[in-house]
Amino acid sequence: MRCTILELIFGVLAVGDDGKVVDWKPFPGKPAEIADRLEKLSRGEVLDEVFTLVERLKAKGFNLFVFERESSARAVRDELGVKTLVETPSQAGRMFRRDLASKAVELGFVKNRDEYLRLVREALDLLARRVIRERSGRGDIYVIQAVHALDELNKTINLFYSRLREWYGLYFPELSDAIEEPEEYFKVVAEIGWREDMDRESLSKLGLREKSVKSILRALKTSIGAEVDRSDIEEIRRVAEAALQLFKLRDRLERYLEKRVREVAPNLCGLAGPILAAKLIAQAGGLEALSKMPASTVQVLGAEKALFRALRTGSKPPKHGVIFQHPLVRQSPRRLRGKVSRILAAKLAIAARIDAFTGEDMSERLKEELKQRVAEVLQQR
Amino acid sequence: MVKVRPFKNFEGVYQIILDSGERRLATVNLAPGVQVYGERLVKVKGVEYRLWDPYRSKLGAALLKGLRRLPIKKGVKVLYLGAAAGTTLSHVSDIIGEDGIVYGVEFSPRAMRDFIKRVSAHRENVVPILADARFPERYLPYVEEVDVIYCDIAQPDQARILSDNADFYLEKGGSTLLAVKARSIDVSRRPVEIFKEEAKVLRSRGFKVEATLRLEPFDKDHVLILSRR
Repeated sequence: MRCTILELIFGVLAVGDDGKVVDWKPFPGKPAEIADRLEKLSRGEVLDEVFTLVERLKAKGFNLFVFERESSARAVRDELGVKTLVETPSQAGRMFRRDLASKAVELGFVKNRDEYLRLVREALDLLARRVIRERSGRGDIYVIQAVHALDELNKTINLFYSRLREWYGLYFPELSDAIEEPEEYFKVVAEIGWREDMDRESLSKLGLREKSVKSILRALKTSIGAEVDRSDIEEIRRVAEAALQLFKLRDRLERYLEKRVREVAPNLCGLAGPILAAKLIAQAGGLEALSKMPASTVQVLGAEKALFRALRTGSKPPKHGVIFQHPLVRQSPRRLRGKVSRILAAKLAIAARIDAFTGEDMSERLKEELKQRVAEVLQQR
Repeated sequence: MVKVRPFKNFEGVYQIILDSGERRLATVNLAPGVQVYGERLVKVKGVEYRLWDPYRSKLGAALLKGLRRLPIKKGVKVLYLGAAAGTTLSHVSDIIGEDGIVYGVEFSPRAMRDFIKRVSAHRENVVPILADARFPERYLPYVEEVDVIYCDIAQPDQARILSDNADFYLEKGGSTLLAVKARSIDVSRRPVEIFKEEAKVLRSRGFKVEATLRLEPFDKDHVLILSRR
C-alpha cells in the first residue's frame, strides 16, 4: 500500500491515494516550536515526527512512501528500510496546498482560518528573525561596516583638505607646497593660523618634521597671500580643527578594524593585512561568500567594471582588483604583476576558506609558502 | 478639498486629487498611521489613504501606463517574489485586504529586516518568508496555491524562476506579473530584444502573455509582463 508523506507547517501528514489523511502527527501548537521544525527542515534535516509516523504506518501495512523532499525520502529509506519515491510536488501535496488553512481546521489543529494564519505568520516571522539575528551577530558584518566607514572617512578628509587649501590658500597659498602631509597642514592652520604667529618655536611645538618647518619658514618670507579679516581666519581654523579630529577618529577606527579582522579572519589578515583583508570581505559580501569564491574571482574583486568590459568587448581582462594594494603585487615589475596576483589570489582564497570553516590560525605557514612561490617567479627574470 | 475617486475599474485602487490639483495613485491604508517608505498619508472622510509613488513601485508605474487588467484584487492570494523592503508589497497588501493573503519571499536578510519592521509587523495579511526564490520547493510546508504570482527579483533567469514557482503554487487560470529590468539580464544587449526573450520563455512554459508594458518615464528600460496560465 502506498501513501504520500507531507511535511506541512502544522504537522506531518500521511495521505492515501484517495486523497484522505490516513494518519498524521501534529506539531506542538506554539509558534516557536513550529519555527524550530521549519528551521530543521530548511537545514535539510529530517524531523522525528516523520520517523514516528512512518513506523506507525509500516505496522499498518504501508510499504511505499512518496515524499516531496529528497532528504527525507533518503533518510527514511536508509533508516527504516522501506521503499520511497520522490515527487516534487506530489499529487497529494498539490491538492492539500490548494487550501492549507481549511485542512488545518478540518484536522482540528486550529479552530479557524484566522488562528491558522496567525500561527503561520508568527512562526515564519520568528524564523526570519532568527536568521537575521544570527547574521547581525557575525563578526564579518562589523568588519564590512567598519571598512566602509574608514573609506568614507578618508574621502571626507581629502575633501576637507582640498577645500582648506583653496580657502586658506587665499591668505597663505605657499603653505600647501611647503607641507606634504595633510595632517600637518591642518595642524598649522588650526593651531596657529596667522602668518605672523609662525616661527621656529611655534612650529616645532606642533611636532612637525624639520623639513616642513624649514620650508614653511622659507615660504613665509615670500608669501603673496592677501590680508584678511580676523573673522575669516577664525572660521577657517574651526573647519581645520574639525578635520584634525577626523584624523584621530581614523586612527581609532583603523585600530578597531585591525583587531576585529584578526579575530574574524586571522589567516586572511596575516596574508593581506587588516585593511586589504577587510576590503576583500566587504567586496565579497561576507567571509563565507568570499570563501566560496574561486581564486580567479578573488583576483579581480573590485575590478568588476574592467572585468565585465573585457567580457563584453573582448578587451584585455584586468590583472588585479583590490589585491593590487598588496605590496607583493605593487612592488613586482609590471610584466610579472599578473602572475604574482594569481599566486596571491590563490593563497588568499585558501586563507579565506580556513577562516570561514575552521578558524585555525595558519597564517605563518601560508605567508612562508606565498613568499617562497613569489620569490620563485620573480627569479625567472 | 482633497477628493477621492476609484482608479479606472480597479477594485481597491484610488485616485486622489490633491488641493494643488495633482492627481495621485493611492490605496486604503490597511495599517492606519503606519508609513512604509515615507509615502504621504491622506485622510478623506475618515478613511486613510497611502499615496502610491510610481517612481518607487513598478506596479504603480504599470497602472499609470495603462495596465488593462489587475489580477491583484480584494481577497486574492498572492505569492510575491522579491519582496525587498516591501514598498510595492505594502500596496498589494492594501488592495487584497483582510481576506487576502500575500506571501512575501525575500532572500536578503538585510532587506527582510526592514520588511518585517515596516510591513509584516503591522499587517495581518502578510507572511514574511526569508528564502531563495530559485528554490520554490523549500517553502513547500507553508505556501499555498495562489491566484497571482508577482515577481521582481532582478535575476538573469527570472522568467524561469517565476515559471518554476508557478509550477508549484499557481492555481489553474492564475495570473503572473513579471517585472523585467533589461540591465540586470544583460547590459550589452538591446532592451527590446531582452523583453521579447523573456516573454518567449514564459510562452514556452505554458503562459499566455497578455501585455508587456514599458515603464518609462518612471523606470528606464523596464517592462512589466502580465500573463496567465
